[in-house]
Amino acid sequence: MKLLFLVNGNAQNIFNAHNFEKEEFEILKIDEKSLATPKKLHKKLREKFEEVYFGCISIEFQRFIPFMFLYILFSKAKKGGIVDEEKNKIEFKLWRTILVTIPLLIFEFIASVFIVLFSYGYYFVWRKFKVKF
Amino acid sequence: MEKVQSEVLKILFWRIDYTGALVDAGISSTLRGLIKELIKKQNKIYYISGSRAKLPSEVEVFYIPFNSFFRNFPEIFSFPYQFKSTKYGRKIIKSILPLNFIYQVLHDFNFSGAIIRKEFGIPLFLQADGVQIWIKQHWGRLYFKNLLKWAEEIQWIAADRIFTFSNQLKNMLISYGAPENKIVVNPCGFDPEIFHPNIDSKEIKQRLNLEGKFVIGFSGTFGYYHGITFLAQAIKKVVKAIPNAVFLFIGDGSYRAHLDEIIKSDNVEKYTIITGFVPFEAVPKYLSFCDVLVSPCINNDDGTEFFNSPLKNFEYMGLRKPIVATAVGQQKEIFINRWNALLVEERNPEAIAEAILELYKDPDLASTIANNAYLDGINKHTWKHRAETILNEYNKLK
Repeated sequence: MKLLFLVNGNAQNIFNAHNFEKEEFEILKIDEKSLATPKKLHKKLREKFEEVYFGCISIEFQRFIPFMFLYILFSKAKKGGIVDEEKNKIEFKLWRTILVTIPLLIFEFIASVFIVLFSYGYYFVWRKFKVKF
Repeated sequence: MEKVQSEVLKILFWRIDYTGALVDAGISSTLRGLIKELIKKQNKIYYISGSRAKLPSEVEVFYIPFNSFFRNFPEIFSFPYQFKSTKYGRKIIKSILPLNFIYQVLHDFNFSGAIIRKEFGIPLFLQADGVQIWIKQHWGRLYFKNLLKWAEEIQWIAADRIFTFSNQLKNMLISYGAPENKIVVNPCGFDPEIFHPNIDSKEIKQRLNLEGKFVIGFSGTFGYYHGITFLAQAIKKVVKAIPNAVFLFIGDGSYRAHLDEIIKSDNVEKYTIITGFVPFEAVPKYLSFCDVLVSPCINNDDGTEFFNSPLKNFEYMGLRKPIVATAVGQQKEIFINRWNALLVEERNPEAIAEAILELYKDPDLASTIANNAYLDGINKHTWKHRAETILNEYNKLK
């Protein structure tokens, strides 16, 4: 059995796009916010599935993809990926998740701190001094 | 009818929120409805968006994509977009000047509209769907409170008009500091060319095996305030009295799991169909074979009134269907009990079920309220009326 976390979109469209057999899948509808509550998903991921997929309408517009890979990394399956309705697929690769995805996520976090600090200054100046009409 | 326009206008619609690949959610339909009407009046429409958009072919669309790197931490991706949307928005606007006004949908942490207003002097019309701080505090998580507050205040100060959907939302905006004299209530509406009583939906009805069934429909995003869980709890009682009843939920959303849970625990799976997200064009076909349509919206948990203006209400009216709606917020303003809808107490599955049963048992009442709703909708609540409100406000500025 395989597991599909349906983040958004239509499961049947995803199956059609990737020639998946619906019967082989357990589908669990989640929303993006659930990705921030690991306990909820982790319980499901400890079950024995051959592969774990996250499905969406379009990978191009999908947020939180690195976290989806982390969930697959911590699943029993350690196989699967992200799939969309537009025939796009990013396959989970253990080495890529450890050597690329996680370091990039850390870098993003550090860069985000700087962006927030800069934004505080910029927004403050606009609010206090520049927004006179 | 008041003359609302004497010249061809160049109008920029500017969307700064992130909707990803979704093109059919409420705000998209709202903007599409307004734009279609403005095009009918020969206006030139430009559109800037950070996400995909489904618009009439006459619209010139510009795309300013969100950064693909800053996408993984809460709210962070809004900050680079503040700078990016301003930078590229400025370039686009320079290339299409002169513009009569900009219509921007207010969104978290972004005041690009205010900067452009200051630099170019183009009137800025904001569409405010809520007070962002309140929404984050009650329906999400609030991060960077000051940044959110400042951005919203900057936009309010810069705007020439703030269009909002309901009187309830107007009051909320005022209580958070938005200038009352700029606020114009302009509810959602519907397109009578798309939502009308003569839609052929035989094929879908057959495909769903709904011939000879009494179908109770709901369409929309399954958000908390849409109250679908209370409608789901009403299924049990209705199907006990009407064995051929089927509940058709058209849509999807964050409360889907709650809906599934109730349907399963009440053992009413065989009386329920959930379509998932359906393309906007197909929604009227699904709704058109329903016998009753329901809008079970609820007030907010903190005691504030329901402040949305559900599109579904107006679309239901256009389809000439009997409506059951909860007596909350704008619903109790546009619907008069037993005249153009049956109004019921909110959060009360029993009351929803009773109203559905009443309409089943009394087809004359169902037909009367459906007709009244239709006439009311056509005369007061189409996108044409909403577009005229915007144009009238523009004329007042001149």
